[in-house]
Amino acid sequence: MAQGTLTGDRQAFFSAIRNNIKTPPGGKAKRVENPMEGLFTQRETTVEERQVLRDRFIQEWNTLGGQAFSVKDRQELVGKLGEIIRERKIKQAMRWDHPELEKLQLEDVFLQEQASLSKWPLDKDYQTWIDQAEAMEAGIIWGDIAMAESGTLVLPASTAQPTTVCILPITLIAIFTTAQLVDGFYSVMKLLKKRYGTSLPTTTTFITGPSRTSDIEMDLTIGVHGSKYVYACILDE
Amino acid sequence: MHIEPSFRRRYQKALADQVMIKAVKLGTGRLRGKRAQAIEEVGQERWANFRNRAEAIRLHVIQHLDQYLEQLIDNVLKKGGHVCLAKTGEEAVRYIEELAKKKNAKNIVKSKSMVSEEIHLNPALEKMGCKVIESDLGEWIIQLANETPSHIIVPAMHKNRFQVADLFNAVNTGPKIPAETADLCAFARQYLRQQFMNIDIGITGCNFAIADSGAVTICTNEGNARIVSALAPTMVTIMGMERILPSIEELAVMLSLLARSATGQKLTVYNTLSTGVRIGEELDGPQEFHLVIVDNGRSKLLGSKYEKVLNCIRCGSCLNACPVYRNIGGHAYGWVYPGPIGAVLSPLYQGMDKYGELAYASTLCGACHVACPVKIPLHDMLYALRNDKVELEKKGELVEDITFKGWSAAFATMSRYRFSIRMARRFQFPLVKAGKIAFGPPPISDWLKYRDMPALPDKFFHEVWPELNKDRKE
Ligand code: SF4
Repeated sequence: MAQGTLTGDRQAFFSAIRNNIKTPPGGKAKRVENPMEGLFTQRETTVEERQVLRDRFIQEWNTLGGQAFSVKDRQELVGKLGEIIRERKIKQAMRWDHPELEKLQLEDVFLQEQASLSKWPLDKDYQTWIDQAEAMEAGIIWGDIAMAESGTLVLPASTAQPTTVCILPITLIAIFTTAQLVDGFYSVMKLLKKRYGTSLPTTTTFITGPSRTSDIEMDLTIGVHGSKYVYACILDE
Repeated sequence: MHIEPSFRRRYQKALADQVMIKAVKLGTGRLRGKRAQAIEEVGQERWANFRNRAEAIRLHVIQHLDQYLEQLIDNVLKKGGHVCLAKTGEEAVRYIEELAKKKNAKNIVKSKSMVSEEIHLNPALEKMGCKVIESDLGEWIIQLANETPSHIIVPAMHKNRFQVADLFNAVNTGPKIPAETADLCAFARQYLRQQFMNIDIGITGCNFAIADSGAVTICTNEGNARIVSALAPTMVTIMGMERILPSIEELAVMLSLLARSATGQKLTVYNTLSTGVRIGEELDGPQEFHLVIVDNGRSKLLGSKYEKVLNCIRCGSCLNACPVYRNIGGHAYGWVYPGPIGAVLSPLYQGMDKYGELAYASTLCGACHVACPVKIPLHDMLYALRNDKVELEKKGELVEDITFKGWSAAFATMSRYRFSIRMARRFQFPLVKAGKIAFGPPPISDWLKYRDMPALPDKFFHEVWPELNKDRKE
């Protein structure tokens, strides 16, 4: 990748900073070692413990105005998806190109409901995919990491798993297994660091419930820009 | 929007606007309640630990700002992003203007950026013929009203839904939108979505830049910044140069504090961590990314007694806690940042001559300090600013000067003190009604307009003490 360019006088910019920074009498403040230590729950969880996390995630997600539920297997998931397609009257949806979603053969469910499910990328041409993506009524994604304590999906993007799918359509359906669940930020950040080091993906999105605003008379309204209807389907391990 | 130069005129105008006062009281009350509930859930002790940790993180970063900024810049450049180092607001504006010209940009969609308000970016781009649309709902409302934000988190807090409906109907070509929040939001979604689809340049603010990975974090509840950064072929992120953290571990602490302090949420709905330019075969995300790092007066605060104000994470919590803000709203502060944080930042960034009076927009109760997630001693700074102002002008107001000189003389000896108390009791007599003074001659008449003063008691403690002491001895 070509290196970017720098505009402005770097030396002058930094000399204004360096000339003013002072070392206080006791010395400069040290970097906080382990900044998350003791503030967040931190543990490796067992399958049983992750079922507790699943219930916590469901509770948080529902409180936020979404709908989360656990399903035992693909068959139960298919039934639930059918309900969502009918409830939201979805005619066309798009999904991430993800091996776990591939395995679930969701296209069949949509066909049964006389709806269509397209796999990303929809088109290689920018304007074409953008228009197609905008026309989609639902986006289906795989919840890579899910934070139980706050009801948050953590979604590192990649070529096959772009953020557009989870932000443009009015309905978002996230599918994941209890194996994806962690307590909170401590585990998430450690996991991201382990996976990517400092080379983070182009975008990592943390989604905590549906799009919301209280900008008019502090009246909470759902779905002003992003997804209005957010579903989390959690498959048991 | 015309901004009255005198603070007195501005707050008088604010006090006369009952719709605004009612809306601000309701809004700040709700936000305070939600924050309190969130802290209750976390637990007081853990919350205190969070604040201590956050303060330590910010303190370290600000004292090593050069180091972290260098690291950030190198990482952004390495990832193909462009960086503009703007010493002043004008330099930042010029850079973005030139970019817009180069891209032949017609449609610019913004997500919330306080720094862009600070540097007056929108008028400059509009002057070039660009259509600039604010996509945050509150920001869009005030853009339509041609006003400035009145709250850091809820920019249109001062407007009610009827006023919003009028603004929306003025740009609406379809059937009239009723003054119902759900209908107004539905219209905003549909109208602003069209703007997103035609975006040439997206401009965002920056909650936190991450030095070791060259990433920027943008937090919105609505998801507008997420859409901007997904769809804009060219994305510009404007950051105040102090908004930086070493790594994502510190980010976890800050995001947890920010959401709870701002709105009482556990986390903001959309937190986007972006490294800028799309890579490989990726189809969404910007093809070009520009990070504009703005100094605009910040570097001169480093090493000063006001340095800690650079720890601010713009959560708005001090506004909700402040009894002055709650009674006059945001516009009375006159510049971009309202409330206690604005009362400190405005004179420091814009000059004592213009905004020095804001140091008096405080009761010095310290509620802002208690509310601040990064423990900025705002009340101490307001006090220091008052001192600076007096020093700078080398004289207080004449009446104030005489009063304090008289006060000092009267309190210098016990006999003078007793004499002045006797005199004050005698002269207060015509003003006292039911134990209170509710009116009086200038200059105290202004003060008494909004509150009563208790009358001097018949006997002060030092006058009853000999009596009491006698009883005690017996
Ligand atoms: S000064 Fe503190 S409370 Fe006020 S906006 Fe900044 S961080 Fe929030």
